[in-house]
Amino acid sequence: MIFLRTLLISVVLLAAACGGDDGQTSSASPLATESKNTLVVTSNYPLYFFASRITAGVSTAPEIVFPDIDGDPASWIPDAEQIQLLQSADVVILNGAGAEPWLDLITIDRRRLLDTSVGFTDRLIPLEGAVAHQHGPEGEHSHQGMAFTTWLDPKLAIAQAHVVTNELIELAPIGEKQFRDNLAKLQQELMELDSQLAKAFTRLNGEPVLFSHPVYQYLQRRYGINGESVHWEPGEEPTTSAWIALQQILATHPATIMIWEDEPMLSTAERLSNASIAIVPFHTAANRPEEGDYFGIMRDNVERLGIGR
Amino acid sequence: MTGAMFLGWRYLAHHRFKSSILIASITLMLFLPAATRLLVEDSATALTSRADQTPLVLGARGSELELVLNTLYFHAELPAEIEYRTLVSAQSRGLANFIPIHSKFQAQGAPIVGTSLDYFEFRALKIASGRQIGLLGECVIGANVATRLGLGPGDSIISSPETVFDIAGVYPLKMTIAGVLEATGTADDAAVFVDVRTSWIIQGLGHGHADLARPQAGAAVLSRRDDIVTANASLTQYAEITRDNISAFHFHGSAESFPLTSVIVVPPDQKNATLLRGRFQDNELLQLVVPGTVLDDLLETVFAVQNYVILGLAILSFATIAVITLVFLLSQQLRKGEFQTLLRIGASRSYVSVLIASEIGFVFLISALLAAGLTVATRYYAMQVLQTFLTL
Repeated sequence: MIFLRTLLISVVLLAAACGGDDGQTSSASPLATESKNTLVVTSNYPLYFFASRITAGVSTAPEIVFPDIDGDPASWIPDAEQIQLLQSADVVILNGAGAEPWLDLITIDRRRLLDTSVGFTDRLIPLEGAVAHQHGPEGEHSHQGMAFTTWLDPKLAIAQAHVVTNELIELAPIGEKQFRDNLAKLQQELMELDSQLAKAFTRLNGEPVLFSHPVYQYLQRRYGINGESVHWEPGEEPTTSAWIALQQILATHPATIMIWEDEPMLSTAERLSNASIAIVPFHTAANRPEEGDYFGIMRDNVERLGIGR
Repeated sequence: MTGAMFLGWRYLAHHRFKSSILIASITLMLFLPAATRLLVEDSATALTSRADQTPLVLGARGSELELVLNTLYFHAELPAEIEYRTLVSAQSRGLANFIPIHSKFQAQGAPIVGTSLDYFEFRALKIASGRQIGLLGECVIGANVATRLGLGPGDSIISSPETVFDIAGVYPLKMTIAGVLEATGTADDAAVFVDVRTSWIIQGLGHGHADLARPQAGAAVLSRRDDIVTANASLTQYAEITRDNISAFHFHGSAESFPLTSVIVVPPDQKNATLLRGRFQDNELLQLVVPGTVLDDLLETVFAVQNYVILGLAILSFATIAVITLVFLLSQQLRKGEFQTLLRIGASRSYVSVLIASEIGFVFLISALLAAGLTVATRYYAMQVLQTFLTL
């Protein structure tokens, strides 16, 4: 019996070895996706503000998220958690024009990106003064880009809001009417802002103006500001060479107003005051304000332009 | 009768050398045809199942087999490269989803596959531990790579230099492991996945270094002329991408001119697949192939070879059986006196027959068991052997 049992076991082993299942697991459809809530992430505060205003009061609207960014969104490098948020978004609304250099640094599904400035690339302003460099066999190259604070021109901001609206309609068609109504209100407010800014800058009457940072190109073009830009940071003391460069600019461009992204250091303010240059902070609102909203910041900017006079 | 079997067993045990040769011959006679069949069938199943899951592969004109093997199994034999603009241009037509593959480099014996997030969705690859690739310079590794090298999330893996003797060539890149994939039993288990731009950095098309426009780069600057800064050889390029230096990484030239080894094309339906195949049919530089068809051609050859091998083994088996029969017959002749003694001391003829039959039976039973064990082991390791073979 023992031998018969052994024989049977060997036969079973042989059968198992020679036939049966091929060991492959059946794979699920590779393109199968799970249903999930619609999530929209924006890359700067103005776009978040526009999208939030457009979706206000629409229960079916996508969730609009603007990640917590420390500092300028244009210098943002998303951390692991933020990258996961971006990767999980149904749409990532971008300003475009090079405002998101971090896009080249992260892995993301490019089909989910929405560039809101792609419709007016002909109106984008190239940055000046890019330095080319060469090393190795590749030869000379530079990292020149475009000015990206497009929203400072309310006309361009309206164009961007339209792109955002169209995308939101695609994501939640049921809310189309309300999205369009909200867009109309937002557009109206942006037009009002445009006239307030135009009025404020008209008062300058072509007088030379200095910009502390090259971020006001669209504002300058929209309102015909006679401006020259330096590259100073509000939180940093300008170097001696920076002061010399300023003197050289002032020789041909006798400005009495300097527009800053934020309040400069006290020492810088005093030295500018001694040179009879008034400081006017004009916040770009690129990042989420601690208080108020986009229009609040812009209203304050307009008011300060009046005080600066 | 148990006594006769016991005597038979003791005879075999006493004549170990003779018994071992007999068992080895019969084991091989049983094992070789079974193993050959198993290997070929398992290989065919594995090859076709992965190929069947991959609708179309786009690549440069040339060997279809190299293109498919590199795309599906990251085979070291490289097909001719195509430019990224091919993918961009094809994607803009909207007939399918196009997944880039840049499988050219290795990291500690594992192929580095530069691709996009779509690849993971397409192959239904799940993260077992850690997270998906996020920043440039990060990677996710297959389950086998993690086990073989003892690596996990947070560890690093270094790309292998393209050539040891090219001192001016591409620097190895130290990549941070963001996650480990769940085992799938496919070539994905043995690969290191990176963003396609990370693989371009490995190739030297992008790099990071100190900002030459800043005064701190002084020692590395050879000359400053107008808006052009020329660096000397002392300019250090970063060998690892970290949050601190990632902003300094940049690519030279347009990404559209950068290379891919192939593109996986996933049309939503058969109609789009047919349209796409029609579009690339007469293209002189590109080919759009159906991996299943390409591998079917390969398998036809493999099966033809298998038949010849099995025929050869059958002839050998016949010869082996003849020799074994002869050995047993001669053995009976030599042991005639032994059997006569058994009969004289009272053993019946059937007792002697059982003794002889049990000796033959034990030899065949042990051989069958050994052959079965070897076949099971072959089946178990066959896929690993196949994967190794395919990535070589």
